[in-house]
Amino acid sequence: MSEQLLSLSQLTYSWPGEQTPVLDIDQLALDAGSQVFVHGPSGCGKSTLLSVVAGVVQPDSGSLHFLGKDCLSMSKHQRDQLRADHMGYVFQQFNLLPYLSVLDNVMLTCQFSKLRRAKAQQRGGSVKQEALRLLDHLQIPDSALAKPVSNLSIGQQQRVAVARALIGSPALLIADEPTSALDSVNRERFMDLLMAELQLGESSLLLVSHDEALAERFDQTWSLAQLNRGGHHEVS
Amino acid sequence: MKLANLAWHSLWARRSSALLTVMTIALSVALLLGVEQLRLQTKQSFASTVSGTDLIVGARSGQTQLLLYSIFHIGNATNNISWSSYQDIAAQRNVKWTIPIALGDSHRGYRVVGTNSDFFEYYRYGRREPLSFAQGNGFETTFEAVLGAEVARSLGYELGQEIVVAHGVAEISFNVHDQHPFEVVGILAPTGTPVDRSVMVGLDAIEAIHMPVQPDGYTAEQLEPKSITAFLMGMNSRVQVFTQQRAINNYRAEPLLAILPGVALQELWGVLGMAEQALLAVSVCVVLTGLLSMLAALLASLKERRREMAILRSVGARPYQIFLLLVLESLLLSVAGVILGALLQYALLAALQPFLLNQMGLYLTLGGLSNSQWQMLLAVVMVGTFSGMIPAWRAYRYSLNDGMSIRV
Repeated sequence: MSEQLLSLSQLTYSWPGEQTPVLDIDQLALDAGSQVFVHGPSGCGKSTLLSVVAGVVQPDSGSLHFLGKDCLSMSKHQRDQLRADHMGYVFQQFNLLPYLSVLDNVMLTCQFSKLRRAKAQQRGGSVKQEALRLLDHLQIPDSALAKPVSNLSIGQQQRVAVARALIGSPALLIADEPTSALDSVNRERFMDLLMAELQLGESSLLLVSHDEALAERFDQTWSLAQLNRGGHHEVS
Repeated sequence: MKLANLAWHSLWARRSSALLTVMTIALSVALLLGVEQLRLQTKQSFASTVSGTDLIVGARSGQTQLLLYSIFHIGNATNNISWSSYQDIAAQRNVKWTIPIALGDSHRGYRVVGTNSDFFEYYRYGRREPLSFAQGNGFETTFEAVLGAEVARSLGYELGQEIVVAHGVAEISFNVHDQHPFEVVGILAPTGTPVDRSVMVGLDAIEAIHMPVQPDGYTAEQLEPKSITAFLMGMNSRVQVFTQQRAINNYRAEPLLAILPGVALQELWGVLGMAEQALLAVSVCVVLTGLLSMLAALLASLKERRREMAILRSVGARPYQIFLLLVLESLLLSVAGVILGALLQYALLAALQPFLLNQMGLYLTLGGLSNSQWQMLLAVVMVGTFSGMIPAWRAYRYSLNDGMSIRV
């Protein structure tokens, strides 16, 4: 059995000022190198779970371990550092800073983490080389590199976001509904390229989506509607 | 440095609104610096109007009034000094020199100063600089005149020009002494003092033009002055100044007043300075308005930039770095505004220079910034950066509360 990358147990969280917890999870674990598909209806706490894993939200109780470290005993600053060094994040859409070039957007990650910068240099020769390599693998045409970010198609923007999240080989890539803004052709292409790139690197994947057709590509599926006793889905 | 780079790119992407903000700050800073420059220079030119004079003596009135009419040619004397009193005091042992001044006539709006050749020898201004002739020399015979630099320049007079003198000081006078034309024999170099706006003639000429024409000329006795308006004097030793002042103030033959020019100038500046302070206060308010508009622009942009903050958080930016990013933006805007404002001020003053010289006889020098101006610039940058902490603080709160969800 491979080593555990992420494990959480007895975890509860409620938004400030609310009585019922939005998260109430018994036990979840993610093995290093595995890909987990998280699905569930809206309001079941998917985004909150990602915020907890990313360390920007502090659970009310329970335990959370990442890379063998007890995240809940860490300071905010340490959790920020952990995220910068070991996690990549892809949003649903509009992932890119409009005022930076495609290349600068990808390299942005390395400005906030020395570890990621060192890893990118080790792998690609230089941060820029590594960024170009990733962009090439994710099929961003060279002609798009010089264009303003807003001129890229949404599919291209999402793939640039993956390049930014994966540069410097983070232990975990978190993706929050990364394909929901894409049409089916672009969605398949996005998933193909994402999975191919994950095979090359050492990153695990935690992907949230309500599109269950994606599930077959993953090692593991978490159905949050069943795993999470909190959330608002039962109210309706 | 990486944050400064981000701040720069972010501002550049919003350059049209950023430029407006910078222009607003620049204009207000230019105004502030310009007013301060004017204040400093008027103060300096004011203080340097007369120097090296130990006492100014006139008929008994107020200290400010005597200074105003004798040196600045503003207003009129209520009374004169008799010629005999003047001669008595001027002849005293410890008196080194005197410059008699007789006022009351004018040439096309410029004051005519009746005096003698001691005026050109002993009058000092600025850092004890003597008067110097740009052309010609002092008057020697009765109907000769010496022009101040501005009189010659604005009326276009040259040596040899014949001018007539009018009674009173209004620009249009019905009582013109046109039987007695004067010949211009000298033009003084510019001084930046009221001397530039004066026409100097001999005391005897003042007497002559007030008499009916005598074809065979005037006798020396006829031309002896009966009275003068005031006189400046220098002492052999500065220690004697206070004794002399007291002696003149207690002069038996007629009521006189002797003042120390430095003290009187200070007192007068206290009054004038108030207006300048008010002007300065207004321009400080204008700068604050400029900074407020920057604050408004930054706050307004904050809502649409919440996504930007979340993205930066997702790639590992700490909340304090997001705070710094916004503070850096306001720092960049203020610094750009201040630099542009300083340049604008020079352009503005250079454009105003001829006007001020013509209308107010104020010669502006465009040197480096004064200490007080540097302090102003520093204060603007500091207040600007400080006010940037308000949007920065809100962005900081957002980035803590939004978590990993993007809210728009």
